[in-house]
Amino acid sequence: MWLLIVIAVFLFSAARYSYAYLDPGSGSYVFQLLIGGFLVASVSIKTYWKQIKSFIQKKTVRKRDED
Amino acid sequence: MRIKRVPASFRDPDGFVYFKQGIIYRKIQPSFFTQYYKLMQSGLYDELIEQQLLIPHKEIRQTRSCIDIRPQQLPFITFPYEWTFNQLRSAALTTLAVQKKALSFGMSLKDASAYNIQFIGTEPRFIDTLSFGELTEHEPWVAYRQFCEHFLAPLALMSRVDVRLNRLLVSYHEGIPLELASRLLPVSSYVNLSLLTHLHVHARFQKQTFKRKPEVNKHRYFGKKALIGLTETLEQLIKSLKVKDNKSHWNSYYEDNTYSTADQKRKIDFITTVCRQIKPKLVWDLGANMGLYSRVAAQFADYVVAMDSDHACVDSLFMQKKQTKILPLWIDLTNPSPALGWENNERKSLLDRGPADLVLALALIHHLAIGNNVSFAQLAHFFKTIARHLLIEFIPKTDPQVKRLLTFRRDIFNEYSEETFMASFSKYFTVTKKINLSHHGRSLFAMHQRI
Repeated sequence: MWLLIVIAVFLFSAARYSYAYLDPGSGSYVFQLLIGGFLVASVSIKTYWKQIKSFIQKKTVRKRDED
Repeated sequence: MRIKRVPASFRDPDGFVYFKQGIIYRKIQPSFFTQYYKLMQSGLYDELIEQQLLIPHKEIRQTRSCIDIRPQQLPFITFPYEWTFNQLRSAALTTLAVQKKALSFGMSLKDASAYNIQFIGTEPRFIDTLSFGELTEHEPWVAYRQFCEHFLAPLALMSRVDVRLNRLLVSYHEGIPLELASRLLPVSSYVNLSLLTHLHVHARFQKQTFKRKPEVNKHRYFGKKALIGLTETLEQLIKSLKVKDNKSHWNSYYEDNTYSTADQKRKIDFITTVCRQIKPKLVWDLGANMGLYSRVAAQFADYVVAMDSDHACVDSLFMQKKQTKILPLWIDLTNPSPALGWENNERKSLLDRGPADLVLALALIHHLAIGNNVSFAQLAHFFKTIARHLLIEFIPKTDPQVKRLLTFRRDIFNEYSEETFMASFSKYFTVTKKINLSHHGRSLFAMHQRI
């Protein structure tokens, strides 16, 4: 059973690399993993900020219409 | 019919580029079929074509062992070390725009080489149809280092140190090593958080040797959102880079020089007549300055490559107006781009990309002859190599521009005369037309190469 799991994990990881003919560089690879959290945070903040902005804009337009 | 593989196309096992009867094709191997079908069927290809990011292609043959495609043919191939700051910047932004679009369709670029971008006039296009791979969750961007070495490092150096550092790409044609760029950048670049991250800290990681691939687990998850974040932060960083000063003596040349309006008109009329007769496909305008005569030639030619050694001129010409007929190129004719790469066969030298149907050399040769001590015999040989037809201006020693070149040096140019000029050029060319400009005894010659 354990052997099957090991083989499956090996095949899965090998398949993920099948298209990468370019050497990503071990340093660049590890570095991206380290900053991954910040990158996700930057996208999330941007998304929330857009939502907040559109919410405020909608409110302002509604208020102007009411006036 | 025999096919000729393009020497630069050897790295990617998924396919290669080849020539057949002077036409460029791309062969796709079965290992790339799945990715290719996804590119074509997901809507990504159509979207990229609609947004003018990728060059279109036609499938010409499909068998079990290969797919052959014929991409849009490009009028002239150029390389990143021939681009100005804004050309390289727009190439970088195009690469990121393609990557962003690919991510939204569940694909990702498997390389981010600057050689995957070509310009049609001032319009950048992604040319490598085989660069699209299926997006693999949990994996960082495989082309991140390449993007930073091909685009970020040279752009940061050009922006923060000097535009001429782009020439480092001749020595490092596969990208400027990040640790070298980091050492050359000023201390002030550490204050910029994005430059600090993607260049300086990233460079430190290049020195480390990691013996084992780190496990991808929930603590080190690198999903699509992280890839989007990476692309967007790189995009913001590239957009924030600017060149400090884009002014030079030469980009105000037409306003400051001593030409009379009548002379300029005679010159334009002469170019118009010659171009109308020849109907050239490809024109090289050498010493094009701000492209005044390139624009005249472009009315009759299929394509004009406007070359100048002054960065400010070429960059201004690139930024002037979006168009697809005049390609500005930053070239130093005293040291034109050499052949580079494996066996000097990957990137052609500038001269190997000729000859042009017509070469314009207006107010140019006195700079090469007196400014760089090149004899008329050498100049004639040079033009013979690059031009089928030649439109050339001779400027005598009595002209103030030549006098200026000789102000602080000994006049060793006893042979600098119209007679020697004619004697040297007659060896390879036949003069078909000549006019004298009233301006200080300047003459314009139209010539064609002797067969």
